[in-house]
Amino acid sequence: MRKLSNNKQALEELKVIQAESCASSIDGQGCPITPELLSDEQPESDEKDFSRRRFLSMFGAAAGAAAVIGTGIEFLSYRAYAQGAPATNGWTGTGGMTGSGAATMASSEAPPTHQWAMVIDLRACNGCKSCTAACQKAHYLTPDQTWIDVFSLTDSTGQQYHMPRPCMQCENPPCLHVCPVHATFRQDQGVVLVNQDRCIGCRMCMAACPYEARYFNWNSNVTYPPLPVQPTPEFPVPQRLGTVGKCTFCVGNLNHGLLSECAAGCSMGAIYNGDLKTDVGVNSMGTTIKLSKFLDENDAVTFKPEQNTHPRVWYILGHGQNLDAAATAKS
Amino acid sequence: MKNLWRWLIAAMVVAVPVLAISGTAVAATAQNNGVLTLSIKSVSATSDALALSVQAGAAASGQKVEFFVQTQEFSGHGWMSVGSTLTNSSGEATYTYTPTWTGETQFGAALGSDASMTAPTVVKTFEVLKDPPGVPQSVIEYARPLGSIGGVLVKSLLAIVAIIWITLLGSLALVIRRMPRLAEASASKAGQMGRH
Amino acid sequence: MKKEDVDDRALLPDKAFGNGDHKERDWISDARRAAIAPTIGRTSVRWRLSVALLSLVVLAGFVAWIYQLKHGLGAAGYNDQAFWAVYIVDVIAFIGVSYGGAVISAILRLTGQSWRAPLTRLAEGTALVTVIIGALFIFPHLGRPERFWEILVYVNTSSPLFWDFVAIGTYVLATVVFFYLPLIPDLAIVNKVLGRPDRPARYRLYKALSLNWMGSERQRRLLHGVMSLVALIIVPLAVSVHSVLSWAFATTSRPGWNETILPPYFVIAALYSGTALVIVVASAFRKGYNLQRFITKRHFVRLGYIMAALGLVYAYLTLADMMTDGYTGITTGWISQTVTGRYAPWFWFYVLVGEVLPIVVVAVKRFRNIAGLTTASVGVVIALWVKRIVIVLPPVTQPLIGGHWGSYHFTWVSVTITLAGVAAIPLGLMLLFRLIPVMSIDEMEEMGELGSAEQVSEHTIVAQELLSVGANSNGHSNGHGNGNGHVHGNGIHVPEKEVQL
Repeated sequence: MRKLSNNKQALEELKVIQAESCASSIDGQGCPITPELLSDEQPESDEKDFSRRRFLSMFGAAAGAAAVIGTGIEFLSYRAYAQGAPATNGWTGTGGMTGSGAATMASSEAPPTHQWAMVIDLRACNGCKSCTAACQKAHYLTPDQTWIDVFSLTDSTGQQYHMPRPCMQCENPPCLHVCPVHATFRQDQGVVLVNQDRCIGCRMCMAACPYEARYFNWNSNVTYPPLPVQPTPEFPVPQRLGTVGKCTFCVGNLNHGLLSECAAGCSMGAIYNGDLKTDVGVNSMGTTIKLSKFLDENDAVTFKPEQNTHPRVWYILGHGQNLDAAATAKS
Repeated sequence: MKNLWRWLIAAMVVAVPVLAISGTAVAATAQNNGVLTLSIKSVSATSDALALSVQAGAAASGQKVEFFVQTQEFSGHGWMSVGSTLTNSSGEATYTYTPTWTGETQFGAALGSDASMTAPTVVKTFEVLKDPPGVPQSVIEYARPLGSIGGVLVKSLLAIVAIIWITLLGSLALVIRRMPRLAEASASKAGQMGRH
Repeated sequence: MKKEDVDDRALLPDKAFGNGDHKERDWISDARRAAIAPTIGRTSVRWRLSVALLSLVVLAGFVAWIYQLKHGLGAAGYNDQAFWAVYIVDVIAFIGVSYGGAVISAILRLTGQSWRAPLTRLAEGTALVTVIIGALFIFPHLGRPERFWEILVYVNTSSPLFWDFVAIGTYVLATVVFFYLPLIPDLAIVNKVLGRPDRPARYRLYKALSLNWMGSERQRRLLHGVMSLVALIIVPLAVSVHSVLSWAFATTSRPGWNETILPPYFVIAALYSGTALVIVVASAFRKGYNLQRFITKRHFVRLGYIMAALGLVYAYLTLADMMTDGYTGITTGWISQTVTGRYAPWFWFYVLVGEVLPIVVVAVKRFRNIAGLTTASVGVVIALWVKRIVIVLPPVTQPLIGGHWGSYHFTWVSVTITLAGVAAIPLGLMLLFRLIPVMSIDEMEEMGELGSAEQVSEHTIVAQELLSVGANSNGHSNGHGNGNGHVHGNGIHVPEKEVQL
């Protein structure tokens, strides 16, 4: 109860801040990325760097490979994840890519200050799909393109529960490995993005993704309002026909102190945006969690750990029971 | 914001540069029943860990004290529970906090059993030089498929492909180069197909 | 091609062979005539009509593709739960039949089967045409085909698709070389027959490509040596190409694709459908180009045996694949949908037309004739395309998380483009054999009539077949030449004067 009152208070404040931030938004709806948000974090030269680095690392040995092999554990909990994570890794700069070339950049570039993550508390999810709606509205998606989808599943006791599924932003993303042209990349904050100006539309990534988190732009009849910004991997709007799109974690929002659209749109506060570096997670109700502690205490799991993808999205298992508790407490 | 203090018992934390002081205990005194103080117990020389100590009064043994930090992330106003410990026989609860971000950090603590026990908070500035273990430093580099033995496999496969190409094109080149010459060498012998 | 008998006179070139008054020619001179005739002289009305019709279908495919480029892949029936469908099936199916044609030809060469001679050109031509069509089907498959070059620039060696690209590229090269080498003597012969450059451009082309071939022993030795080498390369190459193709599926984590059996599964399917297509093509060109005297029932029966054997292996692999997955129940979804669910009509069509029919046709003596085997082969080619649909679609449309099954619906766009690919096979072959001889004249002359004798009893054929499969003895053809020098000159049997009226 203490926390709840705290949360509500914080939520009020959060809303004020979001309202301020969105005052200058594109159409007054939702909170799309403003031009400044897009421009200051992602230098224009990134794309050129990609190919250069890619060439450097093309035939090169995977630098950290040997170190990583030893950590091929199935990470079920955050604890295991923390223990298993390799300690030595070089930095890449903002917008940099994974690859063996990354290690050589270590000394010259500043470390990223965030490593984005997400926690989805299934104890607080009622399957209302408002996260999906918020995401689709912000990114002008078609109804089929559920970058965050909510699956209604049945557990072993026959009880129904709801599971929102964004892109897992895997540490070891199969989609990235199979992309023949490096159109899929990880920026240095751990977010897997798609360069729609490079994607050839082979859909190998869709085949490789175990989470069905990728959505293709099949039809040319999608209309977009006039937008003052050019599409970027962080905010690929308007999307390119014949290329693949996916959840971007709303990384532009996150880098400007805002919650992702889905988290902000979840009135139950089931979705927390998190930062592994500062070990903080926040949901739409303003509940602030110490990420490692929260995941540990609630036995967080990742989805399909046997796929060895090492997702950046953790789930607290449940079936909406916290909603019942909250309803009981209110009455 | 004021509402927060209603249930939050907090005490001041004296700002101390993280790596500067080792084992310095800052005394925290129980004023009287209902007022707690929060203080820095010690700062380790080898890590960034900071020990927070709460003096909950002599009589308050075994009580749960929850420690809070105000975060700067995602709009920067959330009070985050970082952990809780029990008070000892002298009424003191100690929690070791490891800062995870550079900049101002506001600390607070609450007595688990008594939500009315609040105290003002303090701000302290940290400079985090090194992440605690387990935090992804950047993009973790997993072994890529086919690259797992140092790219030898890829290189070998490409070498095989190259050999096939060289063989095929070489065969073609051999035929193209040598065939006409062989015809001239034995033109007389192979009479029937001679040119007009 | 066409079912009806084409008028021999219409196909026959007037200039080279004169008009009428053919006296009985010996086998080889007839072989020359039959092989060269379609390349020179006027074409029949039927031929021109066929080419026009097939070109129209191919053109319609391009129109559909342009429509698809404009409106997106959704116009071809694709959606997020059916992201791979008909075009990748086409890629696999066409490259598969190509593979079959090339390997059949290469293996028959390597094992010294003298009866192969009238068939090799058709098999290699089919391989060449279908591999090009199959490779081109990658373009409608892609969402942004204009960025295809990026695969070469932004190389990702971890991607199965990069290796697909490398494999297909290598295989196309090998197919071209494998097609060209046996062509060298034939082009020299054609020029010889043509006599004078009444078509200067074509004459010069043949002259350049035939590399001054004169049929000398040393030339023959060189050609046979190189051809044996390329034939030796093309077999493992074709196996690896189709394995690499299968790994585009098998390296994903999708149940139904992520199977160790997939590479041999794909390889056998390719061989099986490829052999069937060689039978179909041989049957069509036998009739349309009047090759009855050279391609006989015996050829069909032998190819039919090979096809049936491959069909049994493929049935076995299908069973092995479904049994392991189906029994444990881990992937019950796609198995049950395949056998009893929404893909059941497709699957059972494959079982009946792709397995039962050819085996019955080959097993029952009454059906084991050219008509029966051709019918069965057409069935196999279609059924194996259907089988690829059954391999691709259930794992694609199955829900990985517990949603609903997706579905793929054929649209006029995808059907038109696929039919264009189908029409492009006979079209490509007809145009190809307008330029080059439809049979390998040189080889036929080398092998002699032995390989084509019609008056052989059924039992003899079976016995020969068993013997040749068992021992691959090349005793019956000392002239097949693996650089052993046991070669006779060339078409001496045809007096030049006679040919050059």
